[in-house]
Amino acid sequence: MLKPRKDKKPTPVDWVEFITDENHKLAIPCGSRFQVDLSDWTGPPHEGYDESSTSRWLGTKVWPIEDAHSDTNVDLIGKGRSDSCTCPSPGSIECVKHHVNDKKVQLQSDLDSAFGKWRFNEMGEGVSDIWSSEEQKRFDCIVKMNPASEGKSFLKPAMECFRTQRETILSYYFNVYVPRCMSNKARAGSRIVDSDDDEEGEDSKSSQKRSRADDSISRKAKYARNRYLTGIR
Amino acid sequence: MEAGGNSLPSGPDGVKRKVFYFYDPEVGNYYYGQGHPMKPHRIRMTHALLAHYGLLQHMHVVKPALARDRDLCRFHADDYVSFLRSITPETQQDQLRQLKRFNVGEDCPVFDGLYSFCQTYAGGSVGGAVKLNHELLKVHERVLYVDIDIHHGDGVEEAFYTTDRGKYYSLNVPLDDGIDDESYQSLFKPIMGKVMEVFKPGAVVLQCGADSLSGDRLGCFNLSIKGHAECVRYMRSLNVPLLLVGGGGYTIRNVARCWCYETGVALGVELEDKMPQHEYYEYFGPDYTLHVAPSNMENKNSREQLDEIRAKLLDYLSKLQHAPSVQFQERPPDTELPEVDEDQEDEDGRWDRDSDMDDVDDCKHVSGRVKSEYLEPKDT
Repeated sequence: MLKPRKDKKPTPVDWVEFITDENHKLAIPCGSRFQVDLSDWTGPPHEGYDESSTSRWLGTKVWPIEDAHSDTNVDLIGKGRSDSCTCPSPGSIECVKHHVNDKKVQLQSDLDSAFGKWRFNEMGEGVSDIWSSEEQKRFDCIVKMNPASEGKSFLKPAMECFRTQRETILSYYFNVYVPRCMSNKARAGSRIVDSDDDEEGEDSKSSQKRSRADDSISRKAKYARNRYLTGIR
Repeated sequence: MEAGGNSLPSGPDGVKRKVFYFYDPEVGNYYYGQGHPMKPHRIRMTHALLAHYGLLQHMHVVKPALARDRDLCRFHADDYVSFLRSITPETQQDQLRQLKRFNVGEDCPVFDGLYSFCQTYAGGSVGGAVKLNHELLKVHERVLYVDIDIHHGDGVEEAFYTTDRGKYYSLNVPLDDGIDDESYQSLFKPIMGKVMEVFKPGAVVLQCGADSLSGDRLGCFNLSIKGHAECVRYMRSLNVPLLLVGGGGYTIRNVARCWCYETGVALGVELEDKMPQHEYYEYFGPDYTLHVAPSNMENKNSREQLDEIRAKLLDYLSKLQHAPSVQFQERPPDTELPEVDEDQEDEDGRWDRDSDMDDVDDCKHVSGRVKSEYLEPKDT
């Protein structure tokens, strides 16, 4: 309990007056003799403490991992495809499938557990294994019958037809359907192969006729440009 | 996506860099709806390209934490966040008023998983920002935000304009259709160079919206991937901790090409043009190359217009440099710029100074293009 110094002025009875009275300076003990002995904190950080919430934001490490082939040759970084191959028909759909498969196997070896974490097993043409060729043809029809240009969507009809989740339909669409359409167009001689052609109900013939200059102002681009991100509410 | 440091031995610029990449394998599954130009699948395509070019293997790759309600509410209004959480494609018909209020429904449609998509990409961006913070030398560093998306960053600009956490400057560069690599860099480099010199930010955030590329479904610029990536290369060469974030990009094969190439730039690695065979190879026909030649569209930005814009902006920045605390009496430069057409697009540069000295309310928004600051040191 602190005691005020004695001085000539009588001690005020009013507490507010007392503590605001400049003449009554309380003696605050300080110095090494008056310090509390505070031991170091050894427990976990308090929840909401900056550092722990910060570490949450750094996410979950997926790569690098210890067992992977981290001795991946530095010279292979940035490497593209070979100039030639020994396939009977280089550049054909079969040739591409063969090389894609080889690369997938190599990647799985390189990435080890990260391959599955990044869902590479759910990417690409391999997704088509979920359906028979007849089912795949049925899917093609559903998409063609529901073009975006007519305000339609293939998603619900496909989900109903196949009685499956939307994830399955969308996975097939992006991993199999779209690349196959583009592959056909590219091999049919089309110079501009656009994944959005299907959504606008375009056929491959009109794609072929269009010149490079026209493509930038093609009908479908104008439609999208006038509808999305125009800044107009 | 990137933080400064040391690592990879190879690199054309000889400077070593440690790169952190935030990726959520779910992100490609989100679907905005048929016909909508935004396709999160482009990020999965980018990921496959990164893997097959051998880039992923040379980065620290992290799955981001999902942003929680309270995280989003650190900036956004509680009712907006709870709206995003509760709205579904099935219930949206009963929420027309809310949809209109929050500007959701068309550009930003309601789709299945909308909220968890928001949590995912917010988590990625904040994760990158936290990583960046660890690289900062001082606590109160200035941050430079640069946006090369073709669409003006209304939300970001408004967010900083209304913040009560310090000083803020905004610089918008109005550009016309068809701008090509050379024209773009003739503005970008000198202006960014001057900005760096005047403001000396401790960190840079570069929004790499790929809709400024040639052939974009919505955009109308004519940049090549190398031209676009030159912005990344330049900001990287300044040796300041750098956060790269995505943005627009509606011709998805070009988005994947661009962001893969730019990740290579971040790492200091050049990529061969002949694309390796991979899961999404058929998206890149008929040539299956990384780079695509820009179109022959007309560049509506004349040399004179570009020179004038550059000169005015550099002059404005010089004035800020030499008298940062003096209240400007002159009219800010943008009011003398040529009349802006509705179809002009912007390249944005912004910087933010965390300071408790100056009064943000003095900031004036002039002509909707360039915002100038009238600085008046607050008495403390």
